Amino acid sequence: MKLKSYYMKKENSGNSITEKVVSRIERGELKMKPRAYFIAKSFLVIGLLSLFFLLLLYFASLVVFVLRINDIFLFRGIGFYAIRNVLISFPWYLALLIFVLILLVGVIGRKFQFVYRRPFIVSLLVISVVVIASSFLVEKSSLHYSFFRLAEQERLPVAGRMYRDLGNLDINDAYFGVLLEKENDQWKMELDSGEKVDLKITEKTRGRRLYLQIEEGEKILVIGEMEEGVIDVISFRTVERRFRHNKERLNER
Amino acid sequence: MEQIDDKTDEELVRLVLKNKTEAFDVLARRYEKKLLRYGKRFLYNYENIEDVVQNVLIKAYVNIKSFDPSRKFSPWIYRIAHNEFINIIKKEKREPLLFLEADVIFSFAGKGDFLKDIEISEEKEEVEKYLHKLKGKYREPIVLYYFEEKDYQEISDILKIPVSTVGTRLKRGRNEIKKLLHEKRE
Repeated sequence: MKLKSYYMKKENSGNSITEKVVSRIERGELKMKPRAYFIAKSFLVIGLLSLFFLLLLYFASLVVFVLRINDIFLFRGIGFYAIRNVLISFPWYLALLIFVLILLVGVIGRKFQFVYRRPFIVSLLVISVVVIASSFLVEKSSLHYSFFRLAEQERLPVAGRMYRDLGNLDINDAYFGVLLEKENDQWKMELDSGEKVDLKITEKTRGRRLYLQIEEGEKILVIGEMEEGVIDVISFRTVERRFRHNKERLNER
Repeated sequence: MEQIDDKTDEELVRLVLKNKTEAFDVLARRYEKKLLRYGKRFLYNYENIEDVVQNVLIKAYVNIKSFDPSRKFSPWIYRIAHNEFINIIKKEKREPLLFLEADVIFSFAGKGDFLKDIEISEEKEEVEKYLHKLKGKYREPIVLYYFEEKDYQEISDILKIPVSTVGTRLKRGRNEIKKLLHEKRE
């Protein structure tokens, strides 16, 4: 009774596409793919997504590490010249890599309804916000600091050179050190490298409002061109009052 | 007693999963004509639509275990058909196809991007006349909306594009048709 109308309909119909397909099924020529195949495929997609997301997190937190370890956050408000030099020295390949990974996560994510139903730019923005927020948390862990320490001790294979390069960015005309003497417009400073140099303070020097406040023995960041042991100071700022020198935190982490 | 013909698509899929071939027969018959109609309108000058639809039904059977019966079957099988049709367009290089169109990346729908049901029946005949003159990316949502009577969410699931993009493409497609109609009258 149940199948009566079905078979009546089947007899009445001509040589339809459905009949061709069904007869192939009945002859055993077509088989359903097992559920395990689709489960494996889903795992592969989720696995790839997780892998790319973790890589994204790793490289994004590496950028935060680079910014901290090189004290780039201290370059804020110290003039366009300093910012320009930071931008020139910045490892842009990391930014490109992060951009490509964000795109990859976004594209793979489009397999899921909650992703493809929204504009792609929204997905990219959400991924970026999540990654930026998470990367600051990851950076707070000892991961990159441990790798950097091992790299400096030549005990980190493969990524050792990368960590050494990233941890010691060569920013043009930027000098960290201690103010030794402060006398009129000719100051003396000891650089981190131990070299002693003179600082030439002129009318063009930015940050002159700090001129009177700054004291001998303070750690400073100086921006300016150096020639024969004299830095023609474009701008400067004290360091210790506002931030801790992150290289000193290495041992703590 | 409920006859097999009275069962919903999703109930039929559950039977197919229990190796009831007749359930697939009923399901395939339900969609055969719809898919042919969809294919003929989307691939307007392609001759072997029957072969393509046959491939769609074969793929639906082979991959049926990937379908979640708690969701709607219709967008699932239309998605398979969409992929087959797109493969043909790619193979024959009839129309340029981009991996990600700008309106998928940036589309944010305004109020005017959603058509009202009342407009459908009035415009259907005119739309059909000029369908082939539309770009593929506008033609397909128009076919699905006007002729296959899919809603925005279903079209979004079939084409895997944002719901707002569906609205934008429908509006642009309809405007194109109106422009063509206007040019003809002049």
